[in-house]
Amino acid sequence: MQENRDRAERAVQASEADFVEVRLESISTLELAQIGRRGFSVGPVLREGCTVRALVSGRWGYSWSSGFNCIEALVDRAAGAAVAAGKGSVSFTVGSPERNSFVPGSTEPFTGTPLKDKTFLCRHYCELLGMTNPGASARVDYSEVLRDRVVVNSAGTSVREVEELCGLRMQTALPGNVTASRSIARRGGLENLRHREELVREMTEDLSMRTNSSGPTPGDVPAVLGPELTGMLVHEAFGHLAESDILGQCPALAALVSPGRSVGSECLSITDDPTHFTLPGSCSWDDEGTRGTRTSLVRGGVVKSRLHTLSTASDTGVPPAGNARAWGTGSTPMARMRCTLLEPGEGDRDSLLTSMENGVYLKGCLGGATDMERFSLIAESGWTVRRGRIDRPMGPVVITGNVFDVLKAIDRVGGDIQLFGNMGGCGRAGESAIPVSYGGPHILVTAIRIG
Amino acid sequence: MRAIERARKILETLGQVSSQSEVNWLVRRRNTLLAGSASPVFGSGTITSYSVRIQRNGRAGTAGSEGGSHPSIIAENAISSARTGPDFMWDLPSDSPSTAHFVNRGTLPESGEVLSFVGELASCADAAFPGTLLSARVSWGKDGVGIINSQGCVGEYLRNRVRVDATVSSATEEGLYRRSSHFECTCLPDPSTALQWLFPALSFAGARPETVVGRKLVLFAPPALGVLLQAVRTGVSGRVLLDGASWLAGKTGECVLSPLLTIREMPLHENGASSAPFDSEGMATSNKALFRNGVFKGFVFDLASGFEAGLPSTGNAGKNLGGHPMPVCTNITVDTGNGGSLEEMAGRIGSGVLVSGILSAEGSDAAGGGMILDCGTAWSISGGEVTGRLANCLISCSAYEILKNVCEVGSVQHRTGTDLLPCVTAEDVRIR
Repeated sequence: MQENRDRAERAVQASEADFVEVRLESISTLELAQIGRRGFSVGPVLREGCTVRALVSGRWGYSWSSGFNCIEALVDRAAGAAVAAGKGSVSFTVGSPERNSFVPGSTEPFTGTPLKDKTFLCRHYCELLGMTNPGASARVDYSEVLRDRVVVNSAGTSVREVEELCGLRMQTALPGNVTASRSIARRGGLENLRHREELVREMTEDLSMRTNSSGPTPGDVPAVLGPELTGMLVHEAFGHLAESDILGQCPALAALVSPGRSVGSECLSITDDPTHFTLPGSCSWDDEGTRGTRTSLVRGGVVKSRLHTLSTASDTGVPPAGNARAWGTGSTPMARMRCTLLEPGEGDRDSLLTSMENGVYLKGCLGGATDMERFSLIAESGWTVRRGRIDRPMGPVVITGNVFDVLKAIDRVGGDIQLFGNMGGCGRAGESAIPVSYGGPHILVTAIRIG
Repeated sequence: MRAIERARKILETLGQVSSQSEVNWLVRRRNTLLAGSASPVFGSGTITSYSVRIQRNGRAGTAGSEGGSHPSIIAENAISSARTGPDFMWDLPSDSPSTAHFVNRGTLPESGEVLSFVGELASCADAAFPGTLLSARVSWGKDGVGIINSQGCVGEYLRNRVRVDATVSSATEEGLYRRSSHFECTCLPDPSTALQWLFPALSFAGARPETVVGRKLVLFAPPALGVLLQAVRTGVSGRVLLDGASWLAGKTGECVLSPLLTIREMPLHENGASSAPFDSEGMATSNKALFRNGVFKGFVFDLASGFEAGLPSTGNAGKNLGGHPMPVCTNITVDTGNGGSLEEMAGRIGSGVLVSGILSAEGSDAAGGGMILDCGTAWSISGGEVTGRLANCLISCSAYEILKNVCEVGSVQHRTGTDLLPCVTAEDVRIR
């Protein structure tokens, strides 16, 4: 990679474009699955490619190619595309150029671990699931991603970062579609995936609970949400609303979340932080070469800042914080989340349940979506709550509603923050999903729609 | 070096370690245009990828490469993968597939035409609901697809692909209306047609909020029908059948959907974005009815699942880069009925709901069809008119149950994703 980095540096300096940026990526992946007694692998797969953008007379041009053979030609082609697009008004400033590299160390790097050890890890958890849940199917998936990325630009930035990311997904199901699952992903090596037997225990408890559960009664109810669901709610209900390039396409939406505007209760403080280096989405530099720093998005219910690329940061006159993210050859850096979390308050789950008295308790998250106006999340487990105590299990529950209504309905925030990450990531606008993490403490919401 | 020449070199290397091996390649040449509120941005690029599969000690090993991996590295990776790979006990095909019958119609546009298209699309959106802003990403170009295996099978073809991703946003008296959608085909349609495909209910954006619950007559616009058909795509897979997870097991020949529904898989559709004369294993594809007048016609297989089931491949192998083939469906089409357009179908509904988009579809029982649909874009219909916008509309259902209750099929097909679908009306759908 170093040799290609040198070539990229020479190519951007030789270009006559107003600004040129080269992103080199090498992404190697491996997937293993253990389904009952049957195991198989997918890959390994190695993807290498170069993506270039050039700014000429206020217009961008892009070019890309798999492999690293034609970096110089791609620079010329991107500049040519910008020239062909005519004159425009794009301008921005790059702060202090960075020249650095970050190659993290891990206790047990997966690159040096034999395939049979990874296979054994999957089989171990799968057998444990099978033994503790007789009659249930068991499946364990292992994924690893090694991303070696260089960003070089004509303003003098040249950074390289190696990301090692691996994860497990465990699933079990009883006849009758009673299921339980857990996912975990961490930046680092296999040490993060060992000794996770507690996940199997939690899944066994979930299966037992769901066997005796009945579905939820649809309606608007008070709810206490667990840390994972809180994190996903923050991600879907506000995080996407803070992505500046989306807001640039929709002035009406931008007005709703402009800095200084109240969007939630006083206990609502949301942060996007790339410095949790064990979690997916963390980064030293983003895909424009900007150093990743912590961004306070909402403080005391009031919007403080947004997520920016170099371009949107310049447009609004704020310093970029390293949120421009792309994944894979040909993808465009967009303003995206990294680790988005709700800042903790005081108290724990039980104090919130006592405070709520009657309602529902929801925890775990199977997925979520937003169209910016509304959100939809699937809580993995739910219970009714009577007189402050957990009562009847409900199984998976859909929660949905208007994003602003739910942010205003957050009444209390606990102090028991937890952060989560999985291998699924966050997708947007037809682009590949990128790794992200999320989290928060338990929260009490005065009314939320369940179904 | 042409992709096929590089594939031959990789195959030669694999031949030193395996008696049966295959190499697939995909060359994606694309132009892109990002257009919206900011200046338009053009781009272009080519991504070439190779997937290999080998048989070694009765097991299948796979590997993939995008970029310039040396053939020996790809071979090493495939050998490593075969140590934990699934059984591979059958023979790869030796006949080269014919591509003579493969017609991929459509002309790829020039950059200027695409820019005009997006401008006109934005005008159509503004006409449908004044004040609407539209942003779009259009990518267009050719796929060069090929396969070569150790048994002598060789095939390659070119396919046009045009993909339009668009987002509309409107400030209405009732709040913000923002939706995203996409379709893929082989050429650019006219902008007004494209708007109908992407946002069939945009003109209703200003409707007042309402709440509807209970069992209703529901009109599903094509994007919503496409989500329901995900269950069908999963359920007809021979692999899902073998895993014991398909709701359709044992139902071949039975009428399981509404007799009004004929659902086809059309790999040879002239304008299909997923069209292909042969599948990922080099087996010839064919257009086939999955359900004819509601009757389930049979599962789709690749070589592996077909071998396990004692049946031949149906030419439905598909795979991701470096992955094992799985039985998949390409372009799905639903035959038109006589219901007319969306507006005409809505006009015949006395009291009901129009679902024009799904925000999320969650189901832990996808193969069985069980899912919870959060209808992000749903409308109440009264006396044949759209009277309100449903703020929260959840449908908890079996997709098969809804498809069984279809009582009317529209006569206009829309593109949604890579599928070609009409509107359908279903009775007795439970809105929560």
